[in-house]
Amino acid sequence: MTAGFRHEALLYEGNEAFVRGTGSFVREGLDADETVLVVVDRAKIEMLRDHLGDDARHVSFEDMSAVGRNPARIIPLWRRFVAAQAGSRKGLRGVGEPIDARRSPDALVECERHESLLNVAFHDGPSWSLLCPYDTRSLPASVIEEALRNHPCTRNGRPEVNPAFRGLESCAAPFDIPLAEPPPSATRFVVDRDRLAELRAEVARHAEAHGLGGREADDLALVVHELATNSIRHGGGAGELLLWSDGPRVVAEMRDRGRIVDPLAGRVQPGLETTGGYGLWLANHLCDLVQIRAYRDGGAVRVHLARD
Amino acid sequence: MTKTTRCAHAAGDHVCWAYPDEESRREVFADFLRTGLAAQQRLVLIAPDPERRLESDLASAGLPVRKLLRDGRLVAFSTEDAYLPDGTFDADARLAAYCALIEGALADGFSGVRVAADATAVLAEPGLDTAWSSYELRADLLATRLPFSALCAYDRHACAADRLELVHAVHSRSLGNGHAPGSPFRLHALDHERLLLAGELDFRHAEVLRSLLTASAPDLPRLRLDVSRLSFVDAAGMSALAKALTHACERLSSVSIEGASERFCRIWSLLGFDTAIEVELVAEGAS
Repeated sequence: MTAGFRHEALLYEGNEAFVRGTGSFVREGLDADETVLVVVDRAKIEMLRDHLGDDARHVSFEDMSAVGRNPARIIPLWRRFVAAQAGSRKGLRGVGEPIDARRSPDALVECERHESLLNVAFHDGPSWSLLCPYDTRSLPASVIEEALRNHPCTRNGRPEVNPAFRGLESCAAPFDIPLAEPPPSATRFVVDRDRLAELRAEVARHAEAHGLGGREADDLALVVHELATNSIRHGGGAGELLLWSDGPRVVAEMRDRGRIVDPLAGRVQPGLETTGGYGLWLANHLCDLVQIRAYRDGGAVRVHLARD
Repeated sequence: MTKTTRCAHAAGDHVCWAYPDEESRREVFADFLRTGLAAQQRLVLIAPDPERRLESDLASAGLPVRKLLRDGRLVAFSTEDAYLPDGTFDADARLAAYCALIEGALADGFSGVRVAADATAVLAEPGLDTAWSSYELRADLLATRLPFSALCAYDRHACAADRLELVHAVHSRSLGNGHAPGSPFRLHALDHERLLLAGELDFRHAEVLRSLLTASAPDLPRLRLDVSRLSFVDAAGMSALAKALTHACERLSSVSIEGASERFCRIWSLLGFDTAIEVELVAEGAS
């Protein structure tokens, strides 16, 4: 295998196989004195800790259901992990399981997009290995097939080149999988640059009426303001907002004539030097799910925020 | 005249007024300067055609203009001479002239300087929009340091609405009788080292805010920016703030943001500014 970023899929059947497969990957790293971070759900963290025994003290763990609730926050987490080791001679490896059977259909699609974008985010950076476990017992075959398309390597005791990988160019292509139609009852607003305060008030009112707390309602209003700002500045000067609720979630979608072509938009920490990218970054960190789509004739960003 | 416009002008006031008509302006100018007479201040009238305005605004209101001029209690300049000598505006030179005027007034036994200025012509100058407002913010700071009061009047029918909004935003006080142009945000002096940023700041004014803060930095010993009355700020606004404060950090001994709401702190940190710049962030309610 070549140097650089190694993104491997681990297909396993049930918890025991999970522990065996990820455990040997982690031990391999510890034996080579590498820094290891494992991002899986709470229950699996405990299983892996038990399996590793004393060695678990040398491994960092993060709860995927917290840090990866919105899968678009996971690449920034791995970026911080890699950046924190910059200049160190130690190797790096990670285990990340963003996809399990509890993900909603919408979240599942975004998790798959996340897996695909990991290749784009790290392909030209330092060497490290990331193992992504997939439970073939609980996940449908279509999810496993997509997992194979998104990983250049698979692991079966050792890493192997995966011929089913879609390739970097395809990973970075604009994401145009159609979104489910909003309900006919969705409220529509035309974005007007001089009436953004009214738009925010309207969004917050709608969100609170559907059970979101004041803080979440204000978060959603800010996110919609940011999306509207993007429409005004980059989306042809105008946009349309659709607002509805779906069970415990309030959903807002901004449509405009712009196309977000940077595949990593919203996944790169903005800074003092950057001139943009703040809006989608905030959306990803304030919302539970963000769906970015670039179609031939325009784009859409749909954000979801759920009641606690 | 209404009760709103006939209010007391305390020393150190820097007041903005978009006047609706000539008659109101005459009354308010006379009232404003008469207050200064009682307070032993040297009076300054800045207006186009000052000779005529001395008559129309002051003498006709009963002020002994000729005697005041003779005694050095009143001086008059044309708007062009004061602000646009050689056709260009130099903020540093103007502020230095005010400082010299105040020093001279104090040396002559006055308690300070009181300026009534009709700056309509300056606000209409092309290309002076942000530069003029930056100057007005620095004048706002000057009024916190020295015995200097000013009424900056603009003919609301002769000035573009967005320029009036911006120039209002950088004055500590404004007269308006409810008709003051509504700038979504305000940035003005609270004292010689504290600025208040209030209202709503979004991408439309982010760059202007950055220019204003950057221009005022040389006049501050350190900067304490009070954001307790900032009701909304978006990512572009936060970013402009972060960039301007980074610039201020390089020049001033300390820079702090005070009265920050929980939301402000959370967004500031989400955008990474809490670690990117050395600004002390003081939360609301903290002392």
